[in-house]
Amino acid sequence: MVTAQTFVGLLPEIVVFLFSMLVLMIGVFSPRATGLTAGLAAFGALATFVTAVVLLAVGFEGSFFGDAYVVDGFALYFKLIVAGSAFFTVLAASRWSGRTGDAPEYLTLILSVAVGAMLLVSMRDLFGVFVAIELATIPSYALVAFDRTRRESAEGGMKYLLTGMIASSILLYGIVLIYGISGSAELADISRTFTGQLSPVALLGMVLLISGFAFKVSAAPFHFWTPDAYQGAPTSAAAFLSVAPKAAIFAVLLRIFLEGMPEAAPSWTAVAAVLAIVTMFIGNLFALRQSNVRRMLAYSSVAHSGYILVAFAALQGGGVERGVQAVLIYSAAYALMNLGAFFVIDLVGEEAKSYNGLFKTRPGVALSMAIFMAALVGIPPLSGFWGKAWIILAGAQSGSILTYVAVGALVINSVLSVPYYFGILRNMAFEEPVKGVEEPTGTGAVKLSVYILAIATTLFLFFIGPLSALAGASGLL
Amino acid sequence: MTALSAAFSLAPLLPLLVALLAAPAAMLAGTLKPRLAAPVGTAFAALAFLATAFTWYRGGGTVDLAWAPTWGMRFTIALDGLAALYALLATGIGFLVLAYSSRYLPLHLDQEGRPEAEGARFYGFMLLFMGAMVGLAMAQDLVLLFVFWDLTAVASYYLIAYDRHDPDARASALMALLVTGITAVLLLIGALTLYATYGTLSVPDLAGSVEPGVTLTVAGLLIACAALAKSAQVPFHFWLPRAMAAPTPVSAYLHSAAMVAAGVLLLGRVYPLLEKSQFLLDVLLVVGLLSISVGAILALTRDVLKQLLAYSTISQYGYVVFLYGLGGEYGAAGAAFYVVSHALAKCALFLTAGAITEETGEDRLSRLGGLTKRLPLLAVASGAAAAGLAALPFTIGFFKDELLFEAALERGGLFAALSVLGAALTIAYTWRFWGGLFLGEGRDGAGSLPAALVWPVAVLGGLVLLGGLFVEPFALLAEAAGAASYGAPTPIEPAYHLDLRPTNLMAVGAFALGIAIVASRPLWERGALAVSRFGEVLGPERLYEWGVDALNRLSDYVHRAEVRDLRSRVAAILLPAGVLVGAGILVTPTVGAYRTGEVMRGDFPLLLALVVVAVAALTTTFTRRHVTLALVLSGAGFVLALVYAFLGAPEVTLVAVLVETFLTLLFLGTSKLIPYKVLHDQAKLPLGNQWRRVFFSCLASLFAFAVAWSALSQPAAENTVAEEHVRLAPDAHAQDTVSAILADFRALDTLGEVTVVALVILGVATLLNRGRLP
Repeated sequence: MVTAQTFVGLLPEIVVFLFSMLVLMIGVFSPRATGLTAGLAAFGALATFVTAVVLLAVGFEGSFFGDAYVVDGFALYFKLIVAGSAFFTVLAASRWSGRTGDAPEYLTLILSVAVGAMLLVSMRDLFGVFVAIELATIPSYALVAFDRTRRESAEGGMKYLLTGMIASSILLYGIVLIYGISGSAELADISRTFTGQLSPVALLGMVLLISGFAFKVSAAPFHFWTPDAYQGAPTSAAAFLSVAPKAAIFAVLLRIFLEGMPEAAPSWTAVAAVLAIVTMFIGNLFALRQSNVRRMLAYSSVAHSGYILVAFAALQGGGVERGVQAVLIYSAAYALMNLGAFFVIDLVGEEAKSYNGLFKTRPGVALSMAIFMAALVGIPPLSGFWGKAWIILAGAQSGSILTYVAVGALVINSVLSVPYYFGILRNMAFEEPVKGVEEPTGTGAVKLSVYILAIATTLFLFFIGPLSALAGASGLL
Repeated sequence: MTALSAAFSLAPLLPLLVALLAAPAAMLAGTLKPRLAAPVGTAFAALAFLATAFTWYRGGGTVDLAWAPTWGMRFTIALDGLAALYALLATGIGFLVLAYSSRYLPLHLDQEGRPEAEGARFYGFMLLFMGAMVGLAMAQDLVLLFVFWDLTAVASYYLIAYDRHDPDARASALMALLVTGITAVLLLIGALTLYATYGTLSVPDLAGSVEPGVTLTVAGLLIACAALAKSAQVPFHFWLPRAMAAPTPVSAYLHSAAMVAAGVLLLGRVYPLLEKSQFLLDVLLVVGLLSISVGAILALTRDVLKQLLAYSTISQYGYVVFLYGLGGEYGAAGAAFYVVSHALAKCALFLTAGAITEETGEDRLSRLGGLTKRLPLLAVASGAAAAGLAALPFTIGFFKDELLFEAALERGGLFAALSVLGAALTIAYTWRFWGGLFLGEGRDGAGSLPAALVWPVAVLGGLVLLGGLFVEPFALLAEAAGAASYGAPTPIEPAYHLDLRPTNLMAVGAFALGIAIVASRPLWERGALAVSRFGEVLGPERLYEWGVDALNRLSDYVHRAEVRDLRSRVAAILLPAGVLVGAGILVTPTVGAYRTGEVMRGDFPLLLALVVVAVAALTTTFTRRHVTLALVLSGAGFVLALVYAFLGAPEVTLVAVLVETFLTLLFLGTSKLIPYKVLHDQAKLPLGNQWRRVFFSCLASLFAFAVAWSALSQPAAENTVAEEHVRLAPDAHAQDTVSAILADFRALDTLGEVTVVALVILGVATLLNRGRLP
C-alpha cells in the first residue's frame, strides 16, 4: 500500500529529484541563469541532507513496496554521505560548469547520480538494486565525458560506457540466476535459498553478482576503467564518483550479503578477501609511480576500495559488528578526505610539479592538502586512520586465516602508500615553487569546500561518537 | 559545585593541553611576526614544564573520557610516575633546546641563505613533537598511544628534512619515517591482537588480565619491535646516524627526550605485559647487549662529531633496553633513572657539538682540538656532561652505572662482566669526544659564541653535577616511574658508599678498563674499522635500500603492464569474471549438478535453429565488413527469437523480433552517417594477436556454457513470485499479467526504469554535444 508514510520514506529522494528537474528546466528556459541553477542545486543537496537528518532524528523507520524498499538508520546514514558529498560537489562544480555554459545539465547529472545512489542504499530487492545502480551509473557515463575541452574526457567516457555495459550485464546475469533459484528477488526470500551447501547455480549467481559489483566499486582486476574515467572527468565529477556512488554500492552490497546470504558468509568473505588483497596491491603499486596527481588519486581510490573490501572479508565470526561499523566509518572518512584531495586539484593543478613549494606560496591550500594526504595514508588522528583501525579491529576478531592475511596485506599496503602520498607533501614543503606550470581553475567556492573538508578530516575523531550513535540503530547491527 | 569538581577531575589534562597548544601558538606568532615564534615557543615549553611539574606535585591523576561509548571505545590519560618523568624531560629539555635554537636557528638559516620566516615552521614542528611526547607519555590506551606515536614520526619527518634543499636530509627523513612508520604498524597490530583476545586496549586493564601464552608473546614481540625501532636498537639502528642530517638542536632533542626516548617509554609503559613472558625479556637482553656493543664500537670509529654521538645514543639506549630485559625492581627503576641521566648529558653534548660547529665551521674530530682556551665555559660545562655520560663520581651518571651493576649482579656473573665492559667502552668514546675537542694543540684567541649557545649547555652540565650531589629528587622520580612500570614500589636508593662492595669494585674496574682502551687505541683501531665496514656492506641498511629499490622496480613493471586499449579493457573484465566462475565451479560438488536430458524427435527444429545461431556467431569472427557483421548478428538474433517461440514464449518472441529489427535499422542508419571510407579503412586495420583473442573468446563462451548448463540442471524454485503475480493480476484490474507487473507489483522499478531512460536520453544528448567543440 502506498501511504503517506511511503512519501515520507522517499522524501530525501523526492527532494533531490525535484531539485534536479527544476535545475534542468531552468537551464532549458533561461540558459543564462547559471548562478541561479548552481545555487538551486546546492540548496537542493543541502535540503536533501537536512531531510535525511530529520528522518534520522525522529527515528523514522519502515519498509515499503512490499519490503522492496526499506528506510532504516543504515540507509539514512549512507543517504547522508551521498547528499553531503553531492552538496560539496555542486558547490565545487558551480563555477567550472558555469563557465562552459552547460551548467544545468552538469548539475542535473550529478543530482541524478545522487538520486540513484540514495535509492540504492534502501533497496531490498535485487531488481530494484539493479535499476538503482543503473540510475546512478548512466548519468556518470555522461559526467565523465562532459569536459569538451579535453580529449581524455571523451576517451574516458567511451571506455567507461562500454566496459560498464558489460559489467552491468554480468551483474544482471548474476541477479537473474539468483532469482531463478530462489523464485524471488527479495533479500528475505533469497536468504532462504542460500543455506547449507550452495548449489552450483546459487554460487555462480553469487560470483557473477560479486563480479558486477567489483566493477562498480573498481576492485582489481575489474578496475581498469577507473584511472581513465577519473582522468577524463571534470574534477568535481571525478571526486563525486569516487565517493558517493561507491559508498552506496558498498552499502547495498553489505545489505545483500548480510540480509540475503548470511549463511553463505564463508564463500563471499573468501572472495572478498582475495579481491581485497589483489585490489590493494594493484592500486598502490600503480599509484606509486604516477606523476599526475589525478591519476594517482584514481589508483589510490582503487586501493581504498581494497581496504573497504577487507572489512567485508571480516564479516564473520566475532567481526560482524565491527565490520559493519568499519564500512560505515570508512565511507564517511573516505568521503571527506577524498573529496578534499580532488578539489585541491581544481585549485592547484594535476601535475605533481604544480605542488612545488605550495607551503610557501599558498599555505592554506597546502596545509589542507597535507591533511588530506596524511589522512589517506591513515595517519592518526585524521579520518582515514579510524577507518583503517576499525577494519583491522574487525579483521582481528573474524577468526579466519584468510582475513588475517588480508589484514596483513592492508598493513603492508598502508606502508606502500606512504611514498606517493608523502611525495606530494615533499613537493609542497621542500621544493622551490615552479611558475606557470598550470592555470588553477577553481575559485572561492572550491576553496571554501576544501577548508571545510580539511577541518572535518582533522576533527573526524569527534564525529565518531555521534556517528556511532546514529548508525547504532541500523537494521544491520 | 558539580561543574567545579568536574573541572578538577579534568586537571591532569592540563600538561597535555598546554603542550598541544604550544605548536599552534608558535606558528600563529610566527605568521604574525617571524621573530615572535622563538620567544612564544620557548615560553610555551617552559609553561608546559611548569604545568607538568605542578600537576605531578598535586598528585597526578587519571582522566577517563568516553569517546564512542556505544562502540565501547574510551580514552584514558594519566599522569603517573612514568608519564611525569618523560613529560618533564620532553618539556624541560624542550625548553632548553628551544632557547638554544632561538640563537642557533637564525645563524643556521643565514648560512644557508634562507629567509628568517622559515623559522616559524621549525618551532611549530619542535613543539608539535613536544606535545606528541607529552601525549605519548600520558596515554594509557594503546590506540591513543599509537596516535601520538605516529604524530612523533610525522614531526620527526619534517624536522629531519628541515634543510629541504639537501637531498641527503630528505632521504634520511624518509628513511626515519619508513623504519619507524612500518614498525609503528606492528605496534597497532600487537595492540589489536591483545584487543581481540582480552577485549580492552587499556594498558592497566590488560596488565591485570593477560596470561602468558602465544598471544602475549606474539603481541609483545610486535610492540617491542616498534619500541626498539624507535629507540634505534640493532637491527633497526641504521636510521639514527642518517638522521644526523637534521639541524643540531633537532638531533639533541630527538636523542635525549623525544623520538628515541619514545621507544623506551613504550617499553616502560607495556613492561607489565612484557614481564609476564621470560622469552620477551630475553629478547630485550639480547637486543640490548647487541646495541651496546655495536653502538660503542662504531662510536669509536666515527670522525664526524654528530655521528659519534649518534652511535653513542644507540649504545646508551641499549643499556636501558638491557635493564628492562634484566627485569626486577632495579631493572624497571634503573632504566628510568638511566634515561634521565643520559638525557641531560647527551643533550648537553649535542648542543656542544652544534656550538662548536657554528664557531669553527668544522664538524670532524680530526680537524678540531684544543678549544679549551677559546671556549672555557663550554669546555667546563660539556666536561661535566661528558663526565656524567662516562659515569664518573660526583655526577648523576655515577648512579646510573651503580644501578646497572646492581641489576646485572642479580642476574649473574656473565652479565656483570658484560656491563663492566660496556661501561668501559662508554668511557672510551666519551673521552674521545671531549678530549678530542678540547685538549691538545689548538688555535688561540677568544671565542665569539653567543651566550644563548652556551648557557643551555651550562644548565645541563650543572644539572648533571647537581644530580651527583643531591640525587634524591631524580631518584624519587625514577622510583615513581619504575613503580608505574613494575606495578610495585621499586626503591633504588642510589648513594655513595665508601666500601669495597661489588658495585664499587665494578666501577673501578670499568674506569681502569676504559683508560686501557683509550691507551691501547692502535691495537684495536683496525678491528673496529673492520666491524664498521662489515656493517656497511652487510648491515640492515642494505636490506632497506634493496627493499626500496625493488619496490620502485616492481611498480615500474606493473606500470608498463597497464593496459590501455579498449579490447584489453573488455578482456580485463571478462577474464577475471571467468576465473571467478571457474573457481566457483571447482569448489562446489559437481555430482548431480550437471544433468543431460534426452533429445526428442520434436526437438529437431529447435536444434536446427540453434545450429543456425551458432553458425551465425562463428561467421562474425571471420568477416570484417561492418554491414555484413550487423546483418549476421541480427540474423542470429532473429533465429534466437524463433527459439523462444519453440519454447512457448510468444510475447518474448515478439519483443525479441521488435528489438532486433530496431537495432538492425539503427545500426544500418548509423553506418550510413559514417563516411564509407572511414569504415572501409577501419576494416583493413591489422588485427593484432589472433590467438589471444581466440583464447579469450573460448574461455568466455566456456564459462557462459557452464553457467547455463548448471542453471538448466537445477530444478527451478517451486514457489516463484511469478505464479503469485499471475494469480493476483485480476485483482489489480489489469488486462494482462505483464501490465499488472509493470504498473502495480513492481511499480517502483518501473518508475526507476523510466527515469533511467530519461537520463539515457539526456546523457546521449550531452554526449552528442561533445562533437561540437567550442
